[in-house]
Amino acid sequence: MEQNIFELIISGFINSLSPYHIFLMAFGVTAGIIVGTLPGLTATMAVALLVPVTFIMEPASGLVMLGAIWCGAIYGGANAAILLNIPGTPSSIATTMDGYPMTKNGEADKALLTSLISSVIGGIIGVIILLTLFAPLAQVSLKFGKPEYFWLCIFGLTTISAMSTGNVVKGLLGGLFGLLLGTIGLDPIAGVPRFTFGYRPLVQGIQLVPALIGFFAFSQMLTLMERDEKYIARYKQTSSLLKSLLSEMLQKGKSVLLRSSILGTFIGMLPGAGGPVASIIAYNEAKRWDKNPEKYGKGAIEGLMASESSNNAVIGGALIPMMGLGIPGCPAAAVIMGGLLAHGIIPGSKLLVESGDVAYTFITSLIIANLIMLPVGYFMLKLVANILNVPLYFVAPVILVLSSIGAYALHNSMLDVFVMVIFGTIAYILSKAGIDPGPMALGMVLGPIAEDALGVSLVIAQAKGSILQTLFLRPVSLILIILSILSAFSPLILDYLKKKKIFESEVKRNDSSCC
Amino acid sequence: MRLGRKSILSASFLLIVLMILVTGCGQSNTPAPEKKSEVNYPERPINMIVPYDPGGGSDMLTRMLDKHAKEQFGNNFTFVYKPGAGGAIGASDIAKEKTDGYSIGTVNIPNYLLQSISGSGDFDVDSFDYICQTASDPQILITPKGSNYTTVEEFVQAAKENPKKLTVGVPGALGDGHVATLMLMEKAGIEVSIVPLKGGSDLLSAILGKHVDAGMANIGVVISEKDNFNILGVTFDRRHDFVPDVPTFKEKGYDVQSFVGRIYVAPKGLAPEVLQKLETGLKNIWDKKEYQDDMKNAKFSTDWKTGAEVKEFVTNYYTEAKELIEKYNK
Repeated sequence: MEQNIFELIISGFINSLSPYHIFLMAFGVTAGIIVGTLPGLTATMAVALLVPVTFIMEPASGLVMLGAIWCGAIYGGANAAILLNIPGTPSSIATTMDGYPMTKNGEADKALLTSLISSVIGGIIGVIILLTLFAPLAQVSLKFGKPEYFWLCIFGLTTISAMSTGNVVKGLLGGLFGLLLGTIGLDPIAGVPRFTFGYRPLVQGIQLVPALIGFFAFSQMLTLMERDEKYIARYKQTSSLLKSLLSEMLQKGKSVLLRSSILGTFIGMLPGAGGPVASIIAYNEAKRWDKNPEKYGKGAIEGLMASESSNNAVIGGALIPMMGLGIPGCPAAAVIMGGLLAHGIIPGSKLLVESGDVAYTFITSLIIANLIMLPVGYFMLKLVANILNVPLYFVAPVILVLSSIGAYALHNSMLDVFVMVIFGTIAYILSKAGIDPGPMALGMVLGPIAEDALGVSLVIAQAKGSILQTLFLRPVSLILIILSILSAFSPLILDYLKKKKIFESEVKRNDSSCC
Repeated sequence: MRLGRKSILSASFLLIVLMILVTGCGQSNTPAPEKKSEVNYPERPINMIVPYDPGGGSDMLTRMLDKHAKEQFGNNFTFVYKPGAGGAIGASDIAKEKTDGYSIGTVNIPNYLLQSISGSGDFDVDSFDYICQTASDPQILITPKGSNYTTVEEFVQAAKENPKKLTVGVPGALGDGHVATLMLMEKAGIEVSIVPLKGGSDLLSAILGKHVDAGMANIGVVISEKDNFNILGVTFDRRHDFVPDVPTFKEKGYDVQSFVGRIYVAPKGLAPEVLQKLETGLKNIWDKKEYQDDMKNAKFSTDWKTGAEVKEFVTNYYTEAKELIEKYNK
């Protein structure tokens, strides 16, 4: 059996290294990066668009291409996040937090390259974990019940307090606004519409992607247009950056990369959580473990590394329950699973026995696709960085048009475009009051998952007769509760300690001056 | 001479315009073309409204029909995707389309019926003309491996002894599995706690992870993992090909009939000839071996019902489901 799996891996590698597959991967990665970079076109959409094309291919070839597109799109989201402060896909919300400040500091090249390398490393670590451990990990993912999901979301929400150092109250206000938006639509437990004000299209709720485009792209363009600047940021191409950056990344961020990639894989394998949750939590963890957390949000490459390595590691993670149990870990995995089914390949516990060759070709091809992403991405980031040399009065209208198209293309619906404009305007006004879009987006991403998880937990608790047992007294829940408390209050405690230190040193100085 | 030529040219131009106008108006004035268009229906491609995302189950099923649409209808279907609100938005669009036979769509029994009951859709049973059903997917009651309940009898017995204590996962609030569970409760005189999860995959992981005592799942969604849970009963009028040794609830004395039916509908008010042509055309495709093989490969179980049969079923189901939901969901 051992030998057998080893042989499958080797033959998978050989298969995915055929020139035809290399070509498909290069195409997939390129297409993925382009789609990912454009706000509004998500990774799921990129994969879904090309599933019908795979029907005319061999199953393995089709999968190889889909996997490459997925990797490319998740990485590509970082480009817009770094250069324009617009997450190209929901997975790169956390990337904006340090990526854009780096651009503002004139370090766009460095930021883009950091995100490329982190994405590749995260992607490869995720796939290696998938390759070696997916059968046992699939079982672990099953231990995660709804109460654990609820606490995971709460843990994610505590990031708000870490994200908005300086003004936690404004951060919380933004987060609450996001949570409120997440309650519009069908009640997940009762199944009836709420907060739709009789307007039927709202039954589906405020869609995340158009709202995000509004929060980030639309309001960001308004902000930029209002400033009397010719360019988004000063930009000078830095030559021979690669070597110095690599050593800086290795020196500062080995543990950040490793931790974020493992976190990304783990969160990816929990069905329903996915890239946005993973990158937010990885970002928060990077900040918490850092000795100088105050540099985050001002252009710390560790923050960028955390977000980008974790969201690409999600790909390997999301495939764990799909390959092992037939349960897709996220929407993009669900689309790929549909593609597999159409080829008569059934993901799940029998996949490796029945179609092991295809499965291993697919998994190993993801490693190759990540490696191909390095040169392709390098070439493309040189191209996209030039957007900073285009005067703002060209960039802003083009981004607005692209955002509108992106919002419309999601469901061919004008409602999504209106959502973008309305929430973009709201976010613009709120940013005047010092409320950032980051916490709002967080609330919108996590709120619905948390609500559903809480509702289901309560139904189960009612049946079993004990809320305490169901919701609190489970090992994973307890750990998450403790982590949440730590995460929510650590900025306050740190603030307090810092003030105390300053106070003490001042007291000392006063003392010494006295004497 | 030159002038003459010009005036001749313009006169002939005028004449042509006039002729076009006369023939054009003439045609629209006579009542004949209406009938003619029914005889020649379809003269152009038919719009197929899919109320879900491209690449989903409804899309895949309809694409399999579309492979042979050209032979039957002269053209392939033009796919129009109207996703959102679990299909309610697209279904509402179908109901509002023109009744010329060039806009039809696909909806799922009982999804759209339940949306109508819960208030998320502004349509009901009578908003549509029914063309046919091509496939169906009944529910099965499943329990995790190692559970004490491996037969319908054991489950019903336990539920009777512990009212509201057993948790039954369903793939969505007020969805097909939810109503099937209500039907079982009503017929068996038991009460269980219904746990609304987010779709079939979520239900599967709740069962495999033993987070619920049982689940009411669609066969197609969970069948590939059937060795990893117990199957107690199937909500069909006959035993199902996928699980031939599992008894139906009807055999056990509880007449629970519930399934997801893939049906094709048109806005209410189609000419009977047009409706008949659509039904016959789709039936011809359905009978093809290639179509049946495609469906089998993708794990869909084909189940033909005529438009009239579909209409009868949905009317009865609607009444029953509405009563049950009003009774249990106070």
